[in-house]
Amino acid sequence: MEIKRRDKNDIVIFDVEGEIRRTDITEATLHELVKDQLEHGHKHILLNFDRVEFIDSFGVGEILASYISTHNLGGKLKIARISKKLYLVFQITMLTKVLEIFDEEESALQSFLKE
Amino acid sequence: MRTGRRYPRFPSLPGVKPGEERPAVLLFFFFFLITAPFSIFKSIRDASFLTELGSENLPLAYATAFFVGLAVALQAKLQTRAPKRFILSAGLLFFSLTGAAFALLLRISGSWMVLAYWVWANIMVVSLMTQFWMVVNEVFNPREAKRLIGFIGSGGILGGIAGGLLTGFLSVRFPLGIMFLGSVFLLAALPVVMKLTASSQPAGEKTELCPAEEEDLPGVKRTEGFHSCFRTVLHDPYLRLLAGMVMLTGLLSTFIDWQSKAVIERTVSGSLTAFFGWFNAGLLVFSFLLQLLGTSRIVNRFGIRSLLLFYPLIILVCTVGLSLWPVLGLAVALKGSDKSLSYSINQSARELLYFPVPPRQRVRAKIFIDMFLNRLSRTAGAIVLLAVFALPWLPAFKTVGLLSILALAVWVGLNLKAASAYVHIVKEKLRGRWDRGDRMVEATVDVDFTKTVFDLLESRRRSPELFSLHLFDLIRKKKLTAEVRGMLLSEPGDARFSALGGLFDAGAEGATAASGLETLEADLEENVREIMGLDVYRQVMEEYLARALEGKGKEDRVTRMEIAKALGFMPSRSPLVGRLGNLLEDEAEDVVRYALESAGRLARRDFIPAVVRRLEHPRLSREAEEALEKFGPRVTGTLLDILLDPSEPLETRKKAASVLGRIGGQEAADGLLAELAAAPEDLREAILDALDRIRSGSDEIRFDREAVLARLEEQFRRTYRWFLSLSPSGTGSARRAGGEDHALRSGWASGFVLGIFKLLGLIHSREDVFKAYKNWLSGTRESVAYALELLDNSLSKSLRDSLFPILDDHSLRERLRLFRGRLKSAGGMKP
Repeated sequence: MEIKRRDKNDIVIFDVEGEIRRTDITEATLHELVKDQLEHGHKHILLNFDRVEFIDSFGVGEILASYISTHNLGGKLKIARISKKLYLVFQITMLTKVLEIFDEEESALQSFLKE
Repeated sequence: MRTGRRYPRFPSLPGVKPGEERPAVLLFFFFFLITAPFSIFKSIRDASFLTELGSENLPLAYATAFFVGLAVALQAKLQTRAPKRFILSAGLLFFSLTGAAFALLLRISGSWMVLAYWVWANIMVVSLMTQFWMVVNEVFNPREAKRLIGFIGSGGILGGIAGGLLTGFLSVRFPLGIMFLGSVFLLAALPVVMKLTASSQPAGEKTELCPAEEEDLPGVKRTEGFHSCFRTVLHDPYLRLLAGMVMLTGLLSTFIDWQSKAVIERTVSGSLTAFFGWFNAGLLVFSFLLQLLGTSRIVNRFGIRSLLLFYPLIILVCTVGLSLWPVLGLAVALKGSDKSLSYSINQSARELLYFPVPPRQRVRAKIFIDMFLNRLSRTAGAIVLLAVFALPWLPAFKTVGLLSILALAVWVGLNLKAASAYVHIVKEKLRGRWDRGDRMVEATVDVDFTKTVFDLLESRRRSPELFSLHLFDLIRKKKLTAEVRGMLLSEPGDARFSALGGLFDAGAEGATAASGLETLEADLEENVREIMGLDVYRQVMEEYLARALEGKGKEDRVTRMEIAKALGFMPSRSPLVGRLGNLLEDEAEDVVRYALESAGRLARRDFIPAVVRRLEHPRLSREAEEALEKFGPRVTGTLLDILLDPSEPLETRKKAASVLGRIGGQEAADGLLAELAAAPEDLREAILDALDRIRSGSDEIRFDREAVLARLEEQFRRTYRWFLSLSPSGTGSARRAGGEDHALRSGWASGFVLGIFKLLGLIHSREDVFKAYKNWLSGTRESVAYALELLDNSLSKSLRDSLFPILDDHSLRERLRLFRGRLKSAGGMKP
């Protein structure tokens, strides 16, 4: 897994690439990276999964932990361009009711601006 | 036998029902008029043979039975080429004229004439007796014949008595006149035969002798005749058994006849003809009493198996006695037992064994077995006797006694085998199985799958989450079939499903793609399960659920449905699942429906009270039942408590019984059976149905026989009382409700009858019991007869005595009388 960070309009965007799974842990996990940004005062986080091939339950756990951390600090975590399969998993687990998920990065960014 | 035709009134005849009087009386007289002359001819035959040729030459006479067989074979040939009526009439005329001729010829005398007379008399009796029993078989079905055999058979015995007495009185003073009298009897039978063959059976109910649609046996051509008759017996194991029995009977009778006549010849002084006349009359008086008072009762009381053992056991005792002490008294006892039991019980049993055989085969078999093999067996007996005589160092009398005992032992074995085969054939005669409707639906329709697919389609218009949850449900159940995928993809415009895109369209592309799809489905299931087990997931969802379940607006109803469905996929120990308790009490039925489904899936004990409460709800009770069924035996105790609790609403108790039936198991069976005793009328039907469902699902469950019999007794009484209460005088509600038969079969009393069969099915073969029920329900003459015949051979006497007044075809007045009688009798129903 490879995670790249970029900023746009005070929104931190994490571009995730590869597979997010328990057996493929990087030096810093997604949750640690998000927490790091939150500690630096960045409370608007967007996770772009456009190039993610696979996410297992560990990966979903990372997303949820990131969501809780952001939420607890009064921030917002949104997700864009997830695969159809992951979307189905989120629907079945009813996480679509909790997480804000967008088809496109642009529409996600726009939603931050509207708040 | 019912008839739409009015016949002259007859006084009440034993075992004869309205509509049966005419054929029964005609057969009675027919039998009388052929046995009376035979009794005369037989006495003259035996006396003239012993006088002219002596008992040492008796084997020669027995050996002539072979010629009798040939003559009978010739008759069989004729039988296929001429109408039955013609054969019967021509036979009577022929034997009447030749009988008169012999009266003159015997005066010319000569040993060859005595032998010829012996052969002629035997041909006469075999020919006419076979014809007679064929007519009985055609006119009545097994059930009717069983009931009427006492009455009709007594006609033959009375004829024999009359013939014997006339011989005893007249043979010394009018030796020629008595022989002519025999011919007169035969002539008198002619008009009876004409009437019988003209109207022996009511129109529309006639059993065809050789139905055109009936299949021939393999290898048996449609052409009748002796050869085809032989092949029919050869190809059928059951008929081979009957043939074996008849063969042994012939052997035995020959041994018995020789042993007794040897003693009679040695010990009787004076006219042998008169002695045989009195002897024949005396033994037939005994047979008559036995027939009139005993045979039908013995048949009904003991069934075919015991009936077949009655004759050999008595013969065994007499044979041993005579072999040890060759005195006149024992000779008379042995010969008397053989003949009286042959005419009554043994003949009745043998004729009963023929009834389940299809008409065409029956005719062929009777021709070969009764008319030919029976005679051949006498010849075989004669050969054995001659062989014994040829060995001078053997004590002939005792050796023959020993051979008789040996033949009896084999005969008992064959009889037992034939009795089992008889019941098996009767079962085969019964059409179709009786399957419970619910079991049939379960076996043919995947109700759960169908329901989930409908829910899936329905959820399209409600929410994407609900749709996905149902989709996942199908995946979990491994039922996201190609057809379902195709159906979902056929609506590409549906945005919510297109969100799932091509995830599931790979299935149509071949085996490899299908295999990939299976992997995808398995991954999905595993992912969802793991995610729902995550602590972070619980944290996220706890907050969401608290928020979502606070609102009660219309918009939130769908959300609560989603939650209720999703909770069912979570680990049962997850704290989130506790929310389901509130959803089971939700005001919206849709929400509760999903909650019940999830509660069943999770099967947590803390949900049981809430699920049970939903049994009362008219539109949610089905889902509540299904949920409780999924709890399995863990909920049996609770359901039995509800069933026992009179303070619970009746509907809830009924549903509890139904669920217990679905869950099954020994505890449920015992509890239901125990509760049946005290259950109110409205609850009994549900309990009986539950017990039947348990029985239909497993042969391993044991039902307490004594308890079932006690419940059966109650059920019988309930049926009688209910019937009597609604038709006190035979003109009451039963008749107004559409007739008593209708009332018992499909009307207001049918529930009681079905209950009886359900109870019977608990302690007997359920398949047999319900086969009988199905055939009885059909109401057609043959189906009902075979149904009752099966029950007759399967149930204990006490059960038959209670059941048959309900099932048998009776007039309303007679049924009321029987029901009152049953209620008055205080006897129990021990197995």
